[in-house]
Amino acid sequence: MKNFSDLLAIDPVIEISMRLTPIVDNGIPTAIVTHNNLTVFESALSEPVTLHFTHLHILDPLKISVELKNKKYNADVETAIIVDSLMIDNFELVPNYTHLFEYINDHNNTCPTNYLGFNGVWTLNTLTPFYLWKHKVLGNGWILE
Amino acid sequence: MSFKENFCSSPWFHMRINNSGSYEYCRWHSKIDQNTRIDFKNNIRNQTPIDYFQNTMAPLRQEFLNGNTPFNCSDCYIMDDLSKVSGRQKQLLKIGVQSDNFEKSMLSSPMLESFKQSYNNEGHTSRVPIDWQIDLGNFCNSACIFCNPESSSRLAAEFKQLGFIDQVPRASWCDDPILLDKFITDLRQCENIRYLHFIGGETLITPGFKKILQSVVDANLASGITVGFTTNLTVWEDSIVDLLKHFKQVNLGLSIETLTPVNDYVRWPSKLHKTKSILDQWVKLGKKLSWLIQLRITPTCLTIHDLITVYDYAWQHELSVESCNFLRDPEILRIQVLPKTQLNNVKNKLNDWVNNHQVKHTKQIINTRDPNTAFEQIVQDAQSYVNLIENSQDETFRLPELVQYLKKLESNRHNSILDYIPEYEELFRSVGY
Repeated sequence: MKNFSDLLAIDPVIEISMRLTPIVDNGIPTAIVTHNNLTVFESALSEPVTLHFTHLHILDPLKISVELKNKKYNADVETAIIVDSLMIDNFELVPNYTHLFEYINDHNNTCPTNYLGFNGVWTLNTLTPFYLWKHKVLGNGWILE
Repeated sequence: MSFKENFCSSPWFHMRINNSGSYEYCRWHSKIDQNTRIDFKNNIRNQTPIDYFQNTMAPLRQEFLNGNTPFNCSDCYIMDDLSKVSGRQKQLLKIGVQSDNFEKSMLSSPMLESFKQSYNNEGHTSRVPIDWQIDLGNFCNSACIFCNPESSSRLAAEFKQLGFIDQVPRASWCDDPILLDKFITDLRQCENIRYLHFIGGETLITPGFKKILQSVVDANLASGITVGFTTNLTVWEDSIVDLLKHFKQVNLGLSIETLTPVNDYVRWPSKLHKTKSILDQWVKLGKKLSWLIQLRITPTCLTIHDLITVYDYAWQHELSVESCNFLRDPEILRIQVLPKTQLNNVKNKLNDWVNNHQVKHTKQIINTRDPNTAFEQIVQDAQSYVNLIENSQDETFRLPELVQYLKKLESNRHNSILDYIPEYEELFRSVGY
């Protein structure tokens, strides 16, 4: 890339990678992964899985959620989903930034976590373009407009 | 060099007014001959800053957009090469551009449309400067040996007395009340000003500093503006402190070279006990008011060996340390003027200090004002001087000239460098001391 014109010719894509591991002692969990309201994965999760998908509009806010549903609670044995990693353009969000995720579940447990042990939805919503959000998260100071 | 390595966003939001009232496009640009810095055309006397910014600076913007490397930007490119945070990197960060994701963060920046506008209009812009460096003139009570007459009235008087210069610099633009009022009026026309950075002289004793701060406060603009300035730790001024409290944020630069007596020699005629006392006072106040405090250093061949004392103080108080760039002028005071033996000693000292102050963060910190990364930033600064020493070319041929310069100053100041750095006696004697 030699000049501004070359920059404008780039069609930027944000690469997203997520690894999920199930805990199946009390049955196989059902996981639903959505990205900007599109379902990218919906399945019973019996084995660890790594998902790769892309976010096409660099100026759109980015919303990713993982839902655990149909869990039957049992005090002795566990069913859960662990989000082992979430990388957005090589920026490692999980486990470093789990406090930025909202976890709404049927036990009203809102502690920051990447261990989804309740029926509910765990969501990251940047509300601003990803790179501006990242700038803020990294404590990079003001952004002039 | 690629576009990523060349491009700078600064000309889309920043400009400077220098001591003569001439406009300049950047606070970091390579210093050119002082005499040519008096530009009567692009000067507050004849042009509005907005006209200069939108039109006169257009060719510079066009150069950047075309992927060129403007000649006077070389200081930043050198710093980039040596892993020292450059002004270019800082200005890119202010618009959300991260060097490790340059393309995507550029395309996400709120400034992208302004770049497009300039690209389609031969560099012109409809933006106004919102990030300013305001040079207040050379009124100063210190005569630091690495300074110049344009930045110190005391040094100017001494240089004239010693025959280094024929005449002292012209009065600063801001000594003229009409020009100062004009500037304040122009400043108010720049909507959404975010940052005003002042340099002197000594800011705290320069009347223009207080007058501009007061006018910004009176215009109810202070709550949206960050003000930055550097002080030489010789004075304390309560009325300025009271004004600063009105601003959104204060970036406070505290100039010091070492916490050893050699600081008195290079920052003549300061006295270490008083310097230290005022330093502590600013640090205490700044911490209380959540101001961003930096220790500002200008390492030279006379102070680099004790630089770690500043790092120690900074570490103890969790403050960052920064020099604007590697010293270029005066050439005789460059670190590279020291012979290899002395440089290796310095390098070992710095390396030991770095090794004894381990930090987790290894990625380059561009936002050197982030108080959360103060420790990492100190180590980064120390490492940049190790890099400089390792990559520098020998400039020991400047030693005789350095010694002559010091001897001449000492004839007026009645002091001796050997009282401050006795370990350099043999070296200095060998070149005429």
